[in-house]
Amino acid sequence: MSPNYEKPKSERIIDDLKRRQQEKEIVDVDEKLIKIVIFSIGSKRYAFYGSSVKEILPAGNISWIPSLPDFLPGLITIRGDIESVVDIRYFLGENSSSIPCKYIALVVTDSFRAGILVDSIDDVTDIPLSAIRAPLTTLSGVARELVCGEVEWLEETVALLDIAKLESRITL
Amino acid sequence: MSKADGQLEIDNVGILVFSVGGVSFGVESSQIAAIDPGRTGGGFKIIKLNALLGLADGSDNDAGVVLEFRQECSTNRLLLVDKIEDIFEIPLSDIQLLPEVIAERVLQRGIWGVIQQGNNILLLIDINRLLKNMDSSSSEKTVSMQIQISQEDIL
Repeated sequence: MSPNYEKPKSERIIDDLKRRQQEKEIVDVDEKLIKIVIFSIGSKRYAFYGSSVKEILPAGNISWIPSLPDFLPGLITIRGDIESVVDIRYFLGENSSSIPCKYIALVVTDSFRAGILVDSIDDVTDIPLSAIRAPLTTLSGVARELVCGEVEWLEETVALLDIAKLESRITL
Repeated sequence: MSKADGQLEIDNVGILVFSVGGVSFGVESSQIAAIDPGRTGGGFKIIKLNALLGLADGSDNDAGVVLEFRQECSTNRLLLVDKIEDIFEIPLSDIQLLPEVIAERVLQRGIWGVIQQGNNILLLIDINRLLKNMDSSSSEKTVSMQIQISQEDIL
């Protein structure tokens, strides 16, 4: 092949596309990944940051305590430790009188610790930080107060919930 | 048992378990001055504990047990419960405080800790604290304490 050979345009296009793809893969490897836990409550899906979810377990026997509000159904025992239970449906505008939640997601932060009732755990996955979008300004309903972002999961938009906002709604 | 610095360490705690409104509670036994199964009350006013706790009335008209609770700096108070279930002593280490999420809310009703009994949880109640809050609510006429009883709840 002579030094003056010029690749056909079609080949130059392919080379350029390959180069861009390689650059994108390098960027993807370096980008920070965030673990999220996707769960269902009623007909909708939500997510927590995975770093806040320490354990997922069956709901089991919840001990009722008098004088607590509806969103605090009581206590559970997890390997000898007493944990409070939160019915997050109250804050999401979901019907709390529907089928009892089957699972509890134990969330722990520096200032908050509680078992969150959920219907099901749908996925635990890593996503790029850039994949978390700001919540739509058109998002309505009581759930909006807890949403800190949105992610795409299997072609579905999932609301990412803020544990700190939930804590502020629960604690006196 | 006392520590070298003069502080008293509590090893064991006596717990009396009673039920009211279908819920079992444990109270530190030294809070109880007397038990009156005949619920006569000696002519003194008897308060239905289920009313203070917002629970259903689980006792029949003539059933129930009157517990006389010692009051700090005050006359003893008589409270009606459904029945006495148990009395035992446990190590202090077996008592757990309530999670922070709910502790402040239920402390107004005197509920301060739990004891695990197998798969069940026994709620520990401080009757002195409950009655103190009730008295404060009555004297200040505040509704924020959420402890209101009607004349029907005093026998």
